[in-house]
Amino acid sequence: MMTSTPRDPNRSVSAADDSPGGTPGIRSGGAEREVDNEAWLESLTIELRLLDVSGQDIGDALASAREFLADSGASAMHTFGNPKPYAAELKLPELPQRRINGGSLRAGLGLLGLLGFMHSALSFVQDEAVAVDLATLVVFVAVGILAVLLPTFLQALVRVRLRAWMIVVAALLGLGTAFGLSRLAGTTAVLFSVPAPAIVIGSALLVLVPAVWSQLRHSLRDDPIVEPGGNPEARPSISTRLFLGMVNWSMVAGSIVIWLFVLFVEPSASA
Amino acid sequence: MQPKPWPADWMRAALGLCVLRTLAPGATYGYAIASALETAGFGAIKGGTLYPLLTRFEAAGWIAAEWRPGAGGPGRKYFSLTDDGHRELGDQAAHWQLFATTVHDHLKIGPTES
Repeated sequence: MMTSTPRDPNRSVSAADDSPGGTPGIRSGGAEREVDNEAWLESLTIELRLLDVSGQDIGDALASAREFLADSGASAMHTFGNPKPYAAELKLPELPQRRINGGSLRAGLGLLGLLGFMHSALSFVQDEAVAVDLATLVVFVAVGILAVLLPTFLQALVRVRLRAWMIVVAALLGLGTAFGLSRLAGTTAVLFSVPAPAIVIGSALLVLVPAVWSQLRHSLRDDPIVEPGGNPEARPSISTRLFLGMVNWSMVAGSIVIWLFVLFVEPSASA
Repeated sequence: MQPKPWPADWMRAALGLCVLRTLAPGATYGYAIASALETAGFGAIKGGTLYPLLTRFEAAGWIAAEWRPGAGGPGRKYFSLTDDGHRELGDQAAHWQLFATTVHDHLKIGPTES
């Protein structure tokens, strides 16, 4: 990171000087450099978020980097190095509480609730107990473990740059798991039965409580990235809020679809 | 002929003090600090070296930062020495001078007989 090539002290330095070594940085192709710099700034944002730096301090760090890059005309990677060590070297104050893991945990709980509805809605309507076999139990335990463990791996997952082979592997794993479970479901005997209302109530809590909690947290404790001199109360754009709302309430929407299917489609199909 | 780069260890030791000295005349911004140091003969100072230093000095209370509005954005972040920063610069500069003299004398005279 440290550079120290001395140069003639009598030589003047200006931002317009674009000769190699003539400025604190190196100039490269304009448009391509801009794209690379924006990608670098996005990576820096992620790294600072992972370090629990406040939105205000992130905004300040981003604006400082933009200012220096605009003055030097250099590439961000050359000027600041890798975003991860640079974010750590800034040693910006951390927020008092770690808040980055809650989102994925709530999403996992919501998914567990959605699975609960999938397995209990029809039995509830038909006033029957829910039969639990090995495949069902495996799915519930796997999703439960995923909900607990996913936050631990979130930092690593966020840094992963998606490649085509990763998508193929993930799709094959998903298909293989679904195929294996469907085979297992056809062969295993019922382990035990649970009253449908108990699973319905539990699932409703798992779906609704995380969604309502997230909505309240976003409204009351959101930590947006604020540009220096910007309004700290500034809200995200409507499209961003709509997207966040859709993600937040997606499990509730999925549950509604399941109940509509069970109440209106399934009875006519079985009639 | 291009002079040899200063060893990174020397730069690491001296840069903080030299950044404080660069701020002594008045408030200035990141690229101007890097340019001033380069003009002074320290070589090209990267943003990745300069800003962590400035952040550390700000946390220590030696410098204050202020955003001054620009044409179409937040503008520039200006750094200036605080009273503590002026005191720190004076202390460090005096100490460094003593160190530099010690090194210089040793290199010139060599080990003294005990």
